[in-house]
Amino acid sequence: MARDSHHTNAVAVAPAALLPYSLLPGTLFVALAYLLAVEPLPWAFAGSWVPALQVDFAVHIDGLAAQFLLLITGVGTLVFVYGAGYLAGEAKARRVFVLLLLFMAAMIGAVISDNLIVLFVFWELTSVLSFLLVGYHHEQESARKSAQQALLITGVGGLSLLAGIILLGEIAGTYSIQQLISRVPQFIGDTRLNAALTLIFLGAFTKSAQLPFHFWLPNAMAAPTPVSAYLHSATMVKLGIYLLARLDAAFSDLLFWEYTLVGVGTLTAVVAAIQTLREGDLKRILAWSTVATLGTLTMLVGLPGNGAALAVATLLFAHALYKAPLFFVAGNLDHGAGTRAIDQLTGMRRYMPWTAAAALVAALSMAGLPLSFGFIAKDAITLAKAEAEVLHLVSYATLFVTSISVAVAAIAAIHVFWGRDTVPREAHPHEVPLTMLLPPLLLVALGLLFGIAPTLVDPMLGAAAHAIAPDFDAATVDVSYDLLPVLEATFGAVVFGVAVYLGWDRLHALLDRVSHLDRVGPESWYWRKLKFLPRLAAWQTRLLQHGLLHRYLFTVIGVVTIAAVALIYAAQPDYHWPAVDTLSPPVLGAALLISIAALTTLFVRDHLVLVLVSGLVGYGSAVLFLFTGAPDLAFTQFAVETVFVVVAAAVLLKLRRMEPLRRVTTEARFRPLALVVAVVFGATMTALVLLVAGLPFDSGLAEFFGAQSLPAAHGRNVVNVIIVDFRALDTLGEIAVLAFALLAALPLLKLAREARG
Amino acid sequence: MIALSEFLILGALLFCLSVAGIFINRKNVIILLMAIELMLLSVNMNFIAFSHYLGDVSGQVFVFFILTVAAAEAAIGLAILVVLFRNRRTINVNNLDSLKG
Amino acid sequence: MEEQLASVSFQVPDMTPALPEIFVLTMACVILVVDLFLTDRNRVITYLMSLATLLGAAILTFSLHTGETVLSFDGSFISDSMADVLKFFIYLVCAAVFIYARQYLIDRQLFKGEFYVLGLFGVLGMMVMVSAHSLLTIYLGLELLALCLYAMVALQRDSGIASEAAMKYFVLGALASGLLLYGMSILYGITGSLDIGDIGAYLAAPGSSDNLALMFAVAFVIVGLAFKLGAVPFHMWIPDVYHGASTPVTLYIGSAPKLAAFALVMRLLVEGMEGLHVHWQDMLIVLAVLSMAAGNVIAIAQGNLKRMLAYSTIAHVGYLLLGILTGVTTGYAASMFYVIVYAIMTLGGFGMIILLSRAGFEAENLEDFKGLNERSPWFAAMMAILMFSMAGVPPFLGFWAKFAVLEAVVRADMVWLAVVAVLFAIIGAYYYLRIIKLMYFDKAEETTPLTSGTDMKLVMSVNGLAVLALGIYPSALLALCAGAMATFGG
Repeated sequence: MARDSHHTNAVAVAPAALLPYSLLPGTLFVALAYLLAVEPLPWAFAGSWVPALQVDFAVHIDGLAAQFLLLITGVGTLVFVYGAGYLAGEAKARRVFVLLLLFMAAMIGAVISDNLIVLFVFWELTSVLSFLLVGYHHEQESARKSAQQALLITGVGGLSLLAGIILLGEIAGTYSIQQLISRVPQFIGDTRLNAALTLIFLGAFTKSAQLPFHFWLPNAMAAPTPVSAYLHSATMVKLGIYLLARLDAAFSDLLFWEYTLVGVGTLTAVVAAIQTLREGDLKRILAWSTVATLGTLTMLVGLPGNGAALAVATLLFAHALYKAPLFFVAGNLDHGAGTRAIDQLTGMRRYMPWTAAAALVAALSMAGLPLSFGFIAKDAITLAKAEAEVLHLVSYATLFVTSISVAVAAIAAIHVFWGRDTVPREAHPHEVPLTMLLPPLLLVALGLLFGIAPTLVDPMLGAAAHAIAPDFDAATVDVSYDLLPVLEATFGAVVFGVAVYLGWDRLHALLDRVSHLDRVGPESWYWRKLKFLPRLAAWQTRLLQHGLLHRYLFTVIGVVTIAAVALIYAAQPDYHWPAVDTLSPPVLGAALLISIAALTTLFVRDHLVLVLVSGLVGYGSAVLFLFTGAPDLAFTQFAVETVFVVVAAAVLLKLRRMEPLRRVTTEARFRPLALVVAVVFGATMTALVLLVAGLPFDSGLAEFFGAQSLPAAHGRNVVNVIIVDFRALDTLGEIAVLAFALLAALPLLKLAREARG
Repeated sequence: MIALSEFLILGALLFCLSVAGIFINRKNVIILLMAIELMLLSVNMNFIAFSHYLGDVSGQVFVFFILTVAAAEAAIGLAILVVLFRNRRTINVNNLDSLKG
Repeated sequence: MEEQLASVSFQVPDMTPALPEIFVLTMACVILVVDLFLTDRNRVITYLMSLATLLGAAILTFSLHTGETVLSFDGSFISDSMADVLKFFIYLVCAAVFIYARQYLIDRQLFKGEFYVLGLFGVLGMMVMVSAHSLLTIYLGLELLALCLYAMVALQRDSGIASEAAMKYFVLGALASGLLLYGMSILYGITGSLDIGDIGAYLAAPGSSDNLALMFAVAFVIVGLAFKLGAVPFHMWIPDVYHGASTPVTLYIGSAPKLAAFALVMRLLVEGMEGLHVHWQDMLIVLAVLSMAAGNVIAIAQGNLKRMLAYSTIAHVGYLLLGILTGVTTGYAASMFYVIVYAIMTLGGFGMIILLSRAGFEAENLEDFKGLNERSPWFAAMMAILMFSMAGVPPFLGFWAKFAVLEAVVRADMVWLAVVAVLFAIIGAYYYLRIIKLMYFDKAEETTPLTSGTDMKLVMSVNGLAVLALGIYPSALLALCAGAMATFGG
């Protein structure tokens, strides 16, 4: 096992110091069990959170939520106890425990919330905490990558879930799940519903590791075993199933709902079952079999009928009772024998008798053999399929998946613990401490108990099934067992499963030979995507952010030109070319002066001449202002222009003194594109001006704003009066602008003087 | 009486020239500054023309402000130019490419 | 002449609504003069006075806040709820910037009065922008802020990249101002008024919006606004300027001016041109989609945290526009919430760079955050909160911002846009989470402890915790934004 070597100075934590952490989930579990016994379901509370966005902290606990709560706190308690032994001596153990507690709180929040947005909030929290927990052994590259992968995939799903929830909320007019279910008839025909459901499916499928997002879950096995047992088997990965089961009451009649869930669930189960055969690490084998179970659960949620609802509740419960102990067993082997590779582990019962016992009983349940709770679950599934009249294809697929389960159970219980002892001596195989034995033994004992007396849990399963399918009558649970078809199915699965177990090595080798198929699988797609994104980003960066100012300017002008052309093209306006016979000589002269000067600036090479020529443009404008009834402006323009020319020339001369500027003798290259854009831009601007000029100015507008307009007095006095009176604040601002510009410029210029001096 | 359109065409001409000057020019930052001046001038031309033909004096007032702000802007621009020259020994637009990516 | 003069009534405008502006201007001038007489040793007086100015302005704004809309200065100045709320956050954000900047500037011999005086003038510019109610006031506020920012970028006088950034910023900014002004001049020509209220009334009249010249005016105005906000394809200045400027200046540019730019959009597009909503909506959709796409994708390729945050800013601007383009009150409120949240998060993000930097060392590369958890678990947690928040992970503040705009978009029946936004948010999550990975899972290359001052550490902690606390209880801030936007939209 990878021991932490990072914190050399950190103090190792004793198991006894970690045990108190399990008190919290333990107390919660006991309190919850007590309350469930005395208080009838459902429990509902309402609280306000973010009313502006219709997000309220409404709590609704029915049978399904209660079952999840029992699993979260019950398995949680045992995981904490187990972790106290497993992580003892690890420097970062406390961090894991704190994160696990936070995780438990988030899970509880997710299942008790009636508001979809609140559910989503907690949902994302579990993803984040899972990220931090999977990355626990962060000195290993694989752990870091797996943590990132798990977070990216569930994060992607989470965000599409958010979009789906918002859309669904918009369609239904509420984010409350209970209200949503009651309003279904009003919006079931909405055309946007399938889009909303697709987005929600993406969220649920990523979280519950359904095809094609299934691959993150086995990779997440890089986490410490208690984390895997808790997050990636018992609770977090079931959150997707939980959401689907929750919404089943609303959408079970939709064919889209049924077909998608049954299809994806079955396919996932089959693919995961095949993948199981390819693994050699016990923990990864268990992970794939978890994916297969999740697929089966998804399929069951999709199946119509009350039997399916009961099957979901039963399988959920059974899975927690056998898979968590098996994970614990894998952790114990890691701990006691130093490996989880099944080809190195045989005959371990000699060293780890208690672990072997736990593995055996758990395996019975996993294989679905009579007297185990797994058998009860198998019974419920068989009945559900009979009621829903599923396709033969789905039936065969289920048979295949259960057979592989039998084989995996045999691997975990028989292959590892029985047979010849080949464990290498230097590994010093030994049994694990009590804290790591009690949790699996307790869980398998419960499994056995409920397997023999299923009526003990019937009320709980009935209530959960009632929450999934409101028609379900909780009182009918215990009379539904019909043994014959179940025994038939079990027999078939066991025969086939034993065959797979015996031929495991050969199948393993066979599947290794087709491993090149991985290259087209979803996981390789993920890795390609992950590599592709930075490349795309780098390409886009080179395209957009090349650092060249003139190309930035070109982009800006280019985009403006395109927008302008698009506008004109869309509007197809009429133009009126104005008659040019009304110009008075001074105005004509000024206009000519401006035009010629402006054109000259494009061709002049010498900077000083350029500054002077550009000054001419300003003077020309001043003359124009003079003849437009704005003499005051004209004088200002003269003054400003003079100052600008003088200052610019001064700066230029100064720079020349500092270092003679290389005179640009020839233009570097002819730039056709720039020229084209310039011409098009000019053309559109001309069109624009013609349009504006064509507007009826003197009639309508003048009247429209006659009331608001200031009396037209073209004397400078009035303008000045306005500047100092009406626009007092603006003037203040302007003075501030001017003053401050000097202030800003001075220190910058001061530096240049220092440089020269 | 000058037609509004003539004023506006002149304004547009200045505007286009300034834009062309801004982005065809690659050689000298000073030309950029002057092109920007030219652009503000064309805006002024528009405001004056509209103000004149609308019989509303507020356009002229705006031009006053644009003029002074333009002066302030030019002051800052030239100051930055000097600092840039001191650090880089160039005011060539093409050489401003150390920031990218 | 006498008659003409008499026809203009001499009414002293009501100065009260503008008291905060007048106060800031006066104080900025006073600080400028006082600073001249200070030596480097007691320069801290400038710093304290600047903070006091912001505090005073906040008190003034708060005590003058009535919740009612008051017009003054012949309608060119407006004081309403939006203005007061945004101003309040501008003070808050700028005060935090000043505090973050102190130690950094001292370490680099940049602790001069100019930074603070220019900062205060910039605050004044933002205040004028926020309260502007005429094209003229808008332009003045905009330029006052822009000129301050150009100068601030160039303040690091011996840095080649700073002066290059300043030049690029200046040229592009001046071009954008020119385009904006050109649009304004057409708008003035068509509507015959500079007053936002008059323009709004004119354009609200049926049939008045069917005019190609108006479309041009809208297009030019939007180009100008998009530049100030930093929306693609008018974003090029953002990465280069953020990178080239010294980090406190980047912090200043990246945070508060976005609040003012939001106000600008509200005044020009919503108050002034709501009648043209159908037209500017399309343009904003294009800008928003491009911004979300380019910002989020390019950010992945960045190794420099300042550049990465620059692209993240661009992406955030895309989300910000989503709320505005819906054209309804709830959408505007969502966008306002988004911009405030963005300012708080950006403050923290760049603040962390300053926190990790010390004399002679800029912690601006992603590698510098490696193993931060070992050096300082507390500040690693703060950074993690900020990054999760920027990525939009619940229950942090950023989630509610994204949620609010997405809901507004879905409610406006633009589901595809919401899906696109979510898609790019997913890509965006990748680079934020990479930083968390670096901080928590990678081995530290730097082992020196953090050396920042207590004030910085305190404010940084408050900043990070605020993102968490406001995330857990976002209602108050949301209600504030909804109240401020109540007068906008129909």
